[in-house]
Amino acid sequence: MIERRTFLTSAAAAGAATLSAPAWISRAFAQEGDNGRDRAAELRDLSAAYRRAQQQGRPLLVLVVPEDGGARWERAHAFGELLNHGTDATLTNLAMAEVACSTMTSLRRLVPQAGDGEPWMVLVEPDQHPAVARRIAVELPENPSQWTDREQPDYEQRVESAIDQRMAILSASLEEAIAGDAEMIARRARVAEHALDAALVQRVHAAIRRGTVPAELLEAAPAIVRAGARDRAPVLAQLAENARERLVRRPLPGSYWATSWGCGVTVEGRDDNVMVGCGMGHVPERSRRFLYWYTSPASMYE
Amino acid sequence: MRNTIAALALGLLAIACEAPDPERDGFVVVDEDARNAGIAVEVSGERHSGALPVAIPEGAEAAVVRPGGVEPIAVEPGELVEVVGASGELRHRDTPRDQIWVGGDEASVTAFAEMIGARATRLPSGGWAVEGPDAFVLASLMGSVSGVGALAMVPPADRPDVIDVALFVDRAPVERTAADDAALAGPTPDAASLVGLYAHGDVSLLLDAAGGWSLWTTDPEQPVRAGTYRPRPGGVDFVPNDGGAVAVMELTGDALVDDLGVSFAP
Repeated sequence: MIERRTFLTSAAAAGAATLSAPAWISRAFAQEGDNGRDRAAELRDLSAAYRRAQQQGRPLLVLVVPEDGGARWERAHAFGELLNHGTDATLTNLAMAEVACSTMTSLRRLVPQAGDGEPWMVLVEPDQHPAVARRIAVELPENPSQWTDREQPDYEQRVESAIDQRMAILSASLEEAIAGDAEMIARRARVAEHALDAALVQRVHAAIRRGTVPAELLEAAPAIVRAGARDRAPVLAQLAENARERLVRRPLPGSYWATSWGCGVTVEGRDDNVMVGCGMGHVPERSRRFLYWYTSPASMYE
Repeated sequence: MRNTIAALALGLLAIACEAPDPERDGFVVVDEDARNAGIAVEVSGERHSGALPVAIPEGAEAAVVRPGGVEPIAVEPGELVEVVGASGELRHRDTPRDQIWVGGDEASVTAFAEMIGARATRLPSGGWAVEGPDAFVLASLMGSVSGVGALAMVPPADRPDVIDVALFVDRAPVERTAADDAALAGPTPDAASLVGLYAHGDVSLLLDAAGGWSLWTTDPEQPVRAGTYRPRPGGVDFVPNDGGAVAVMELTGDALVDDLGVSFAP
């Protein structure tokens, strides 16, 4: 994970480049009052994700966007590491959920029982009313400091180790919440079967028996696939790959994907990115692609 | 800017003239057909032929002026007398306070609504519901507004109570009847499936996952009204937390629709 403090200091040293940067890029690395979130759009996106989850009989996993810019930076990269480089096992767990990003302010508005504070994630079970909300709090290790540890011979190794630990902790917490045991997976499959069209469910079971499940069925009924293909590694691999397509290659509701490699940030899907301050710091390969939780560059120009 | 100035002028006018009080004063409105038939209203000797309500101050003499003569009328405090049709039939009802039904083109009605600090919602009938604090009373100060007229003050007769509350206009609680409950038929929706954000124009209606609802226009932190909801056959009951009447909306597909056809879609 890139050190935010280092990044800011170097950006300041870039002088004119930073000063002339448009508002959105400044907000990306600063802690501002509105935090660069379009609250109305956030609630709209979250509501749409909730309704999809409810209609498809799957839980809603909310990756919590902190109000504090520093905490946001840390989480955005940690989730990026997990999603982009997680194992098939992690992705098959994530596949069973509808995933969205939101601040707790918007989440509490839609799901008041989500509670106070800013847990890393909240898993909501929308098949129940009132919905059940499970808060997922974790403690993750930080990278060694680029200022004090960069010259240490094991610096790179320690950085990679920290990434491994973050991914392992997040993955384990997600597995416990989404797919804790066979009964939990079976229950998710039953909820999905109840919510989905019976003919579609039949097609899913038939595809599992054949050993090849089309993408649209993997996307429509992941819990049924997961429960029905527990002994069929090739089908589970298909499910993991489908989750990568849905959760990694496409933007998540409430977020953009962005890449940082030390010469600024490129937000995917935008053609109005701005480069600032090269040489701002080293970004480990697995930390480069991360969730970008700010208003679109275009809207921030206005 | 013109509307802002008009609103300011209206406010000053209200202060200077002592704004009508819907509990103390009465009102008369002459509909389009009656106006076309040459019917007007006279208050303390002053004739009014506009399309907007006319306030009848307590103790003032009021009369309907017809081509065939002048007919004195009694208007009770808090009462609205509508003069309807070419025959000038008189209809008596309680004065609405925060809403007025008008006809007119969109630009004129929207400008009119802005001038009285209200919001205009198009009705399936082709008219408009203009709603806002004291909208009816403020409209009576306007005299006439270009492009706004053809007042249709009587809501559709099928379920007037539902219309009132479905638009979330504050009303005293009303006793629900078996006929009310029978008016909406259909399966009772699963409460879990109702959760979400619904919108009608710039109005947002949120049904949360804990069974609460709130309605707002710009700031969700400051809802216009809020309460709890419960599924009912064919739709949803909205129970306001201010003691107001239960509002009923029909579930049509994914949308929540009131009796005027105002649809809140997810």
